[in-house]
Amino acid sequence: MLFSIKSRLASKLATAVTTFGIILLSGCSSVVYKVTGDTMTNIGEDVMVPYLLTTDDSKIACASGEALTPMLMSFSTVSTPPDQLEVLLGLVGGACASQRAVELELEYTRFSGEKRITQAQDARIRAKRWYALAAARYYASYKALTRALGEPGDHCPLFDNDFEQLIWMIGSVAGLQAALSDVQANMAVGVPFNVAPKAERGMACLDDDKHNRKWWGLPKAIRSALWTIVPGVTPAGVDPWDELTKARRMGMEEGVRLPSALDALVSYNDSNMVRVREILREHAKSVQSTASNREYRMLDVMAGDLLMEVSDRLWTENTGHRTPIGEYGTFWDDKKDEIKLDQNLLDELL
Amino acid sequence: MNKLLKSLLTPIAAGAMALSSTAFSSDLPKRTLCVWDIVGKSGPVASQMEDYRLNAIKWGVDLELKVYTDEKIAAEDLKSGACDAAGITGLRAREFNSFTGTLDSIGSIPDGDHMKVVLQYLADPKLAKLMVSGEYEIAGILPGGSGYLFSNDRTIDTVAELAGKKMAAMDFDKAQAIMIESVGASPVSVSLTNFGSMFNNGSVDIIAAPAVAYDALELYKGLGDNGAVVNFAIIQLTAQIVARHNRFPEGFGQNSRAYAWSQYSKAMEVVNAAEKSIKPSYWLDLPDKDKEGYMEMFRQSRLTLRDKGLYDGKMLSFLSKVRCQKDPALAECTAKDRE
Repeated sequence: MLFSIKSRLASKLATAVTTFGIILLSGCSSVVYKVTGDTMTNIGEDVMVPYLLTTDDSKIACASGEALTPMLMSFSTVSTPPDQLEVLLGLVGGACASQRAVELELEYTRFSGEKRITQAQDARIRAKRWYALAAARYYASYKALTRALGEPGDHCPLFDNDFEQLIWMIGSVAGLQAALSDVQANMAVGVPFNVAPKAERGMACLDDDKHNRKWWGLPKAIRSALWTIVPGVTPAGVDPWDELTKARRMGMEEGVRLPSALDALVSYNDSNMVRVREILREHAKSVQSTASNREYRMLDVMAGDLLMEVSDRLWTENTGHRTPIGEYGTFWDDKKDEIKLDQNLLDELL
Repeated sequence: MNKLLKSLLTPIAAGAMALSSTAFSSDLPKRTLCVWDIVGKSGPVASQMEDYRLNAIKWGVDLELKVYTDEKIAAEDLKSGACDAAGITGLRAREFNSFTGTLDSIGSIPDGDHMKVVLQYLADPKLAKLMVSGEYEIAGILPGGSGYLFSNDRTIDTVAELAGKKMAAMDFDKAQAIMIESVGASPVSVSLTNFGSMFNNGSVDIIAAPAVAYDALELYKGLGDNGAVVNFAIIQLTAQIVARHNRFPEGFGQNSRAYAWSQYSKAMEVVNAAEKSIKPSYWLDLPDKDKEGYMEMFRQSRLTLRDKGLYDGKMLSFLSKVRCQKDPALAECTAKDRE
């Protein structure tokens, strides 16, 4: 009997200790999680991103960006949300989805050229699905920017450091890309199109000589690219195409050729194929003569990928296949570098 | 039962559909293209020939690729009829067409610029009949780059110092042994498969090779610490596609030659990259005056080899005209014994 009372007491005690332990530990773990979350966010911003920007394998950047997004974002439930990191991850994820969409667009072009209608339709549907995903990812990036630094267009944020300026530019591009991708996806996501004029006004915060020099002409390129798309925002007396040309030169001098990529994209959008070809030729030469900026190599590689996509579109539309190996910067109908043959010499041989 | 039938029939139906979609290439005549690639099926030439194969479908032939690591066997299989066409070196192709085979003659094409002009002429449809010789037709010529002398002793920088040195001579090219003897060196018979290793193990002191052989055959081993690559192209090498004329449809040869010419720049990129890969300290420059003397010596050798029936006079004369068009001030342009 005594034994049974003792055993009941011991059991109650054990339950109380266990419950207390669980409460204590769970409180402790949320502290641990918060510290871990903050640490991971800091590592992400201070170590991972700067390292990733120096590398040159955009496919790995794409895969790791997609794979790490849920893990890094999960810390937002226990810690300060890593909004700035999300801006970058959203852009990378969006770019990955866009790349797949472009692949399918090329397929669509090829199939329709061969009159294989069912396959062409299927490729187009698949492309739209990827564009919808791209639009959602880009838009998440833009929304993260508004949380991190405020909505572009109203006022300029006080930038604490270079990373914040980079995020401001990247987030604005993501906003624009979100709107454009959503158009491709038949407005499946519902991105408001006013992000484009907002991004244009936001970019004015960095579009000055000092920042254009510092950021390889990117602020000027983004802003003037938007002038070619958004009606009625171009300042009087300014030619957006001239501004894009200036921005392109800055990008080529510094080895971060994102302005060339933006110019090619909007020129393609404007159906100005002469300009597109000129940009692709110039870029191919620039890559041979000027190395990528060491600190921001990945951005130059991504610019190269975007330009290759444009080149692939042109080649596929005209030949059915993408740019052949070693022929980037040239076109199917280029006049060969041939001399005028001396017909007498030919005749003498016969 | 119906389900079972359906599950059995579905793959068959799918297979039939797949077959019908490829019917267009199975309707074409099948021909065998034998290609020499020292590395084998995964080598660079074999890979390029896959692209060629796709284009050949447009010209009405479904080619099956066979890759040979021994060029001699590829050439023999072409002769026996086991191959309908073969991709081989210009040196080896000489026995099938002495006109184009004389492109790979000593000193006749001084550099890549001359080579480009020459190949543009040869791709012209007007010259189509010169591409046919007996039952064979040259269906494309690609540049293989300059041939340079690789020596294990960099103190040898004049012809006089070649006396007594062992020089590699391709067993199938009689011209090489004759030329080597004419400068007082001893020719050692080699083949494309063993000349690299013979240079690397010291069995021969000097070989002539294109830059692409430097890494592929690890010629730096033979060059060692005292070796040199003489920065003076003694020959321009080519790769040629030799086809059995009557095994291919009308127009195939000219289409193929035009395609080969369109690939000129791509081939030269490989050559240029290979030249850059040679360690800069190995290059040995010759004085310009010596080079002029050697060019004349090469010219005399060509005349001798022409008279012996090894080089084709028409090609030599054509190449001389190209040289003189580029530089009319050359002494040979007014020489009495001009090629």
